[in-house]
Amino acid sequence: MSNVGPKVQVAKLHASYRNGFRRLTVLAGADFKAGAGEVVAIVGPNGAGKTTLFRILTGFLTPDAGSCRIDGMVPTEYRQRHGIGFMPESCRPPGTWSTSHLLARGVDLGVSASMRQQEYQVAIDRTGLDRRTLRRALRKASKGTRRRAVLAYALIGDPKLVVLDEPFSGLDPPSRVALRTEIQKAAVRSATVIISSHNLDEVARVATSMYLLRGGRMSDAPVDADTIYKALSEEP
Amino acid sequence: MLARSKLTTIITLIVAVGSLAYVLLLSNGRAAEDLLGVHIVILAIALNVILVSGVIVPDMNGGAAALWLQRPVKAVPYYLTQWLMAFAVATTVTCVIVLLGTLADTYFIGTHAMSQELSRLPAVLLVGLVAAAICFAVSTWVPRGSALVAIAVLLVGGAVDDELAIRGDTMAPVLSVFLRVVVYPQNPLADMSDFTVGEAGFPWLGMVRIVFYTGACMAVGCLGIHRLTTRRGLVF
Repeated sequence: MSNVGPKVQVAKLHASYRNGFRRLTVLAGADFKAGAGEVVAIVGPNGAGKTTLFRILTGFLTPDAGSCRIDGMVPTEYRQRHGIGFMPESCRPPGTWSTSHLLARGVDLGVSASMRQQEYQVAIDRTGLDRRTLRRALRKASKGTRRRAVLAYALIGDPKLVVLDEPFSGLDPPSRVALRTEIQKAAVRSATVIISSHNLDEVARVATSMYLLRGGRMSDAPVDADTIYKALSEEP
Repeated sequence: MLARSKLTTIITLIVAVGSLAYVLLLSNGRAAEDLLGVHIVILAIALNVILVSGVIVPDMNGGAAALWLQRPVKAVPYYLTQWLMAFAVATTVTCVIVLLGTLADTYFIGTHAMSQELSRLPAVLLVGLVAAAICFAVSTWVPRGSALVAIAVLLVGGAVDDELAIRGDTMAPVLSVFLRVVVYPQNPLADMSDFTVGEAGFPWLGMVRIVFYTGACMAVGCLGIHRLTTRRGLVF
């Protein structure tokens, strides 16, 4: 396995959902590329199709048309071979599980036996949580704590492809700083990082390129923060 | 693995069945022995349905599946392992209850009705296996209330199988064969129960039906997992 992040190529991606007897188009032509050491941000308002794009990118949804390739493989194949560090926008780990329990599961599933103890400790340190909070059931934890736990879970084993859906949502300022540091560290170790957000200020600080996604349509080329800001300001 | 509410349900179920069994044994009649057998079968079915639906449905509905499957694991083997663990726990609990019941009966009550149930244990576990397979199949296709749907499949299938046993010869051969393939094999399971206590010979044809039905349910469940994790997309 290569030590650098994979090359992600998305072309003319279309996706829709069935809503009763009608089909609701969510993505109507998304194109972008990302490579090793890059932090690509997909910015857009709520309902723009970011989560659907990420479901396709992580291999959890088959698109209606278009292609998505990660190092030449379809996302499902890449995920099953190498794993993806993925932080969904919302997910409910089993309610009785604690952060430490969740991280132990992550280490069991994705790390070789000889490295498990070390990776577990790294993941625990990454959460920045005290021992008491680590043992508290996740259903009793705050949204911020749950997000930190899921982020630490996603980064177990230093995955080469990191996909973070709305990672800044629900985090307090110190946690946001820590998250930016983690994203930069991933890019430094040559991982490919793709993040989505509707918070332009946060992503502009870490992204090497940004794409605007609105109404299922994506900008043809990377755009700067000012262009995105203007476009989002014109939203009705 | 198990939510607290599920654990409470299982404990309530065990206490209820235990209390009923005690009352039935004290009444010391043939009818009471039959009822006791029915209650133990219901216990085996309920344990499997509760445990199997408890490990797969919440993962799929709450987005936790996206956590486990982002690691380099394949969805179908992963959930088959989870299913196997749930079935193993349900089987162990059923065995422990029947063994403890037999000991209690032998040393404290003295009716020896439970000895008969101990002999029937392999058939009871087979009933539990079929129930677990049905629940596995249903849980991957029905997003809400899969445990209730699985129980409905058992009850309706059992009723149709009884009708088949009575009127099967008068039906069109094609319809009769079709129904024998698709409905819950209640009578073959009862024949297996009779075989375990030496009241009948080994039901070869019935066993083929049980194996085929269980295999078909597992195949439907595997297809459902494949559809959820790629074609239709996970919820998160």
